[in-house]
Amino acid sequence: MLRLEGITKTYAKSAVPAVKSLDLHVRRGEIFGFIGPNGAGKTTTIKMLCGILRPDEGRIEIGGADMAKDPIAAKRNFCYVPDVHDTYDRLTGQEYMDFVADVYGVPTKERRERAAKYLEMFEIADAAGERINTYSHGMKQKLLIAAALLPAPPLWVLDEPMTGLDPKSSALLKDEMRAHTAAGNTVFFSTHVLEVAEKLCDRIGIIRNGSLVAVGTLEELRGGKDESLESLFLELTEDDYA
Amino acid sequence: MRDFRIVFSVLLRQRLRTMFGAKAKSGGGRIAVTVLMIFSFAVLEAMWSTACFEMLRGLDTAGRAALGLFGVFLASMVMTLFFSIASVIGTLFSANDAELLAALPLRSGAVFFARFMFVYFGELAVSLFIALPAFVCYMLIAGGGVLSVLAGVAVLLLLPALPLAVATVLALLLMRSAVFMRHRETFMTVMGFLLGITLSLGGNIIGQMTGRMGLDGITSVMSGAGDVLAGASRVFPPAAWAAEAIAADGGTASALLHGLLYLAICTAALALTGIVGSRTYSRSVFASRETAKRGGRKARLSANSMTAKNPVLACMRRERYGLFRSPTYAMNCLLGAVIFPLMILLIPFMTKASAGENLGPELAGVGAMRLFAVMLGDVPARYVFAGALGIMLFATFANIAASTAISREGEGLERLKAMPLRMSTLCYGKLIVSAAANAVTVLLTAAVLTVLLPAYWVTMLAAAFAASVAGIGTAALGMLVDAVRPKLVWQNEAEAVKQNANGFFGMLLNLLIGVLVGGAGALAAVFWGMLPGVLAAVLTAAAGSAAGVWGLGRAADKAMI
Repeated sequence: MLRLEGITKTYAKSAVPAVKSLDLHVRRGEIFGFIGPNGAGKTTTIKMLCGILRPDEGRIEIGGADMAKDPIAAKRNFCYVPDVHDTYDRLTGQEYMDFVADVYGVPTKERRERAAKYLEMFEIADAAGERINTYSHGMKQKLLIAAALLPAPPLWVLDEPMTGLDPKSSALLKDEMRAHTAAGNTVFFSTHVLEVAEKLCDRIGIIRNGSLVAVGTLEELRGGKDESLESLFLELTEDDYA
Repeated sequence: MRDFRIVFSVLLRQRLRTMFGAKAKSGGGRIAVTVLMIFSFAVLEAMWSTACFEMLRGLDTAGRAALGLFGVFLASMVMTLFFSIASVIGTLFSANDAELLAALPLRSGAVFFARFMFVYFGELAVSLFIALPAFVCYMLIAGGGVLSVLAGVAVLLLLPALPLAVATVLALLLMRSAVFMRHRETFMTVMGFLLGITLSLGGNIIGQMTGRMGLDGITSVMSGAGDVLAGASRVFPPAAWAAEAIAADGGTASALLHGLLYLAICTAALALTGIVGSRTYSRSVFASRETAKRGGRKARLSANSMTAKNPVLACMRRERYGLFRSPTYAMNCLLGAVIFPLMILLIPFMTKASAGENLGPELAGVGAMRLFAVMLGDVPARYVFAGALGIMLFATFANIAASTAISREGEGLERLKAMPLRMSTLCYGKLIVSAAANAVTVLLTAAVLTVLLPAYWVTMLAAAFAASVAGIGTAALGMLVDAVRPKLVWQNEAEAVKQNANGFFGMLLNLLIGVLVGGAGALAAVFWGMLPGVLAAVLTAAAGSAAGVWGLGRAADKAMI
């Protein structure tokens, strides 16, 4: 579903690459957790795979479409929930969802059904007619998630999706992620909450200093030892916390 | 003072780094843009300086160069009064860091004053651009001692104080009253529009009165009686005090008195602003950010809402919401569309008022609204077409909605890039709104010209059609500049539109379409007649617009990812 081949990115005025020759293959039907210390290159990687940043080298393929050659086809295969909430705050929640649905070409019947479902699910239906600048932090996050899920693309790319969500919404989102992958789709998400990654992910990738230092299922990462993801993570990123 | 210094320095550092540390495509590109900007501003300043010199030299022959100084000071104050209202609303009330600063142990008055001074220095730059050449020319022509120079420096530094204080107090009161409104932003947008129009008309009425006063004064000076500045000071005393503080030579008692009067009124205005600001700012600034009461506007997910649309129309609708619902954007981007035709409507009144009986005995009894019709007599329609086309094209040159369309997305543009949306689609959606704004300006201008010259209504209709078609091209070119080099990092909405050189570059590019369409239409009309003129204008406009739209799409898809 998602294939990154040797992607490298060095920001202007920086001698050190933010992401170095990163290879990754995320399969259909799996929830992939992407974790790493602050500044490790998570957001840069996510921005590259979403087409926000162009990699200096390497290739990104989403659902068979090459991001460099056919970005629109590649982007139709995923939705993205960013880690910042400063959205188009002069629009109402409903107008924002409508806009996203239009961009993805969601037909009227489906958009109404799904909009109603997600707005009710995240308990923001009553606020959907209000402008986004009147929303609380959590409500904005719920709206961004609801709008991103509305087009129902096969891949969800979620950057810190649980931040700001109340426990109920967080649990509902996890259920949705599981249901999405159970239907043969894919979820790629970054998180700093290792318990969530441990319980939710089929596979986990750990990035450090722009390189993927470990990829696999939790069992594979443990390598037969009986240790938590937290211990494993701290071991692999020891220097960053020294 | 400590709080003020802390906030002001952080705002200043942020602004300077945004201005000079922004990412550029290449070092060469950045240098080229900087050189072009400096060159363009230098040319404008040189032209303005020459005009000031000629005007002051002319007045000096009558021994009244100070009148010119007064006129320039007044013009600068009127411009500050009108243009600063959007800056004040944007910088004081739509700043991204409002919540951050509110959570820190800083006095609200200090935060307010730091932001106010930030706007002040921005307006000071504009004031100096206008008034400094006049002051230098005055000193060269009329002479003056060291004390005059010192008085001049003080006057120039305080030039924006009074109009900015008025604009700020009005904006504070407007925002404070918005607290009580449910539809706060709509209220603020509408009131901001009304305020802008009122200030603009007010400024023109002052100008009109001064024009009349000036001519009377000059006449009386020629006959050796009266004092122009004494007369002018009855219209708007502070501008006259400022001019008198310099003109009367800094050393005299009269200069000192006028200088002190000017200093006193500026200090009083700033103090009043400080008092009103420190009392109302914190409540006003969060008025539009309060969490609204829920339950009243549940999403209507049936009937007319949430129907599938073409992505271009979706982007168009989103752009429309964004423009109309932000008071800052609405005032900066759309107010001009209404003001420009209104200004044209005022011209005959101003002409009548300032030129008075000098227009000639046959025009003495003619009302202002019929003035131009009588003056033109039976001029052939093709000449009127050429003139009207030029005016209407000029109205579309400075389309800030177009030339800041991408910059206004800010850092949120990243989210759009992650969607399956071509940047050309986004731009075309935005272009519909910008071109519609141009069309509204053109049609209002045509309506005003038709009112003034009713016999030429068909001519106006033809010119409006050609100018509306060209308006698509001018909007596209303006947006093209912003698509290639958008200003995406800003701290408040005013910064996104006002401190954005793309508006200026868009105007320069639009001159091209103006010259092409206006030139083709006017030449064909003058030499071959009305119909060839209209055809030439419409065809050139259509070709220019098609090229502009095509170029915009190409540039957006190539440059924006």
